[in-house]
Amino acid sequence: MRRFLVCAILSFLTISVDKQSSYLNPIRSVISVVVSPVHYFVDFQVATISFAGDYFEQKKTLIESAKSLRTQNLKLSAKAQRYSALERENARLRTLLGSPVIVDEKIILARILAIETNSGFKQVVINKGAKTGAYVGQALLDVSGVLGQIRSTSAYASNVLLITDPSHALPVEVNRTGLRAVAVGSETSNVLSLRYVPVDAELKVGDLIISSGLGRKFPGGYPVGKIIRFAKTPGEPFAEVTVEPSADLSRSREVLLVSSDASGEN
Amino acid sequence: MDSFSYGFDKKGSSRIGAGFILFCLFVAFMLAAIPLPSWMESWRPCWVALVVFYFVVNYPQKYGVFLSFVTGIFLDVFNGGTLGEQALGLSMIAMVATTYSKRFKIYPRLQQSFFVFLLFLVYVIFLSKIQNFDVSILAGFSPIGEALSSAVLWTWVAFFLDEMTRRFNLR
Repeated sequence: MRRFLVCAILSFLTISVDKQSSYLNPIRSVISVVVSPVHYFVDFQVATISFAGDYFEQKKTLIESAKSLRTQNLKLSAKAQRYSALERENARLRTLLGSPVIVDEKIILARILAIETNSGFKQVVINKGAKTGAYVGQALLDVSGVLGQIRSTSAYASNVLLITDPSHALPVEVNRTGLRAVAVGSETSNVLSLRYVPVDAELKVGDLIISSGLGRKFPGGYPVGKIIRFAKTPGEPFAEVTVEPSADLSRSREVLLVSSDASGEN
Repeated sequence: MDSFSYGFDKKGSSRIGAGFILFCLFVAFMLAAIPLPSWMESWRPCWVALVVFYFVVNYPQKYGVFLSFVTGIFLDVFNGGTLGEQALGLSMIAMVATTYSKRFKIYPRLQQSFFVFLLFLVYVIFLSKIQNFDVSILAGFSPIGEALSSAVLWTWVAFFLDEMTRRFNLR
């Protein structure tokens, strides 16, 4: 009983310190050295099983997926050609204005480990840590949009808090109108809600939401999601806006870590 | 550090025991992290808590509250959760297990499972309250699912670990 009291008091202390601050992160990264190999071991097993599944996949589906990938590749490269022209034009206009912008950001390729974390946070574990250039607060993207930010790092792995976590807030803007807002995650479902949007805002369902780059954690201009619901309650000062994230939060495996220090002018 | 030596280096003969315990915990950690389909998510058994409960009930001299606390800290880092929540939960389980150790062992199997169900229900609700205080306990009935699957698995885990300890000669 006495031992339990000691442990309980210690636990309460660590919980309250860890919820409020990051003082315990050194302890966390020391213990991670022991614990990360288990993460990698589980991921390896799951990867082996899914590799076996892929191996026995039918030839037909393989051909189909190759075809669709080829068309997608063609479309993307066409877009990329236009992008490089636009980039040059933009840079030229910027020099005319006298405000240089850095478009290319430093990007690290990472992979989400196939493990489940039962922690009360919506988070994933990726295979890049402090030794490979990841740092706390770094933004994470997948091919279709913003995914989250790094919450804690150890030497060879990091925990990423997803944008749909209720404790996560992301500065965004509406692509069509330039209206700025804050996208906050939700407790129960995998959607975001925009906070502090005035009721008279000109929005409609289907509008693209992009990251604004304000706050300097996330680089600006990346897609965050699409508006799926826009409701005004009489008497309320702000509208209720629900956004479905464009990044595939449950499925994507290959992700990009983007350094925000080169995000250019906001 | 004191708690470590208390558990592991008491006698020369407990060397195998420490290795065996570490191996079981390793497997439990792995099972806890394996991705499940989303409909099974709220039925995931608390593997680590089950293994800790087994060792504390059967070997309270070897595996006590302090070691459970340390295991909990490791589990917290493993889950990426708040440091201390699992430590608190597991030391609570260990406390109950040491208190009821002798009585629990003479219970019939069914009653053991019921005991495990109640204890784990408290443990899971406890954890969900620390993790997010303002979400309703009954959202999705997930605590009942987790406690129930743990209680159903208890018989099998106990049987399996009994067999293993007999083979590895833990005592």
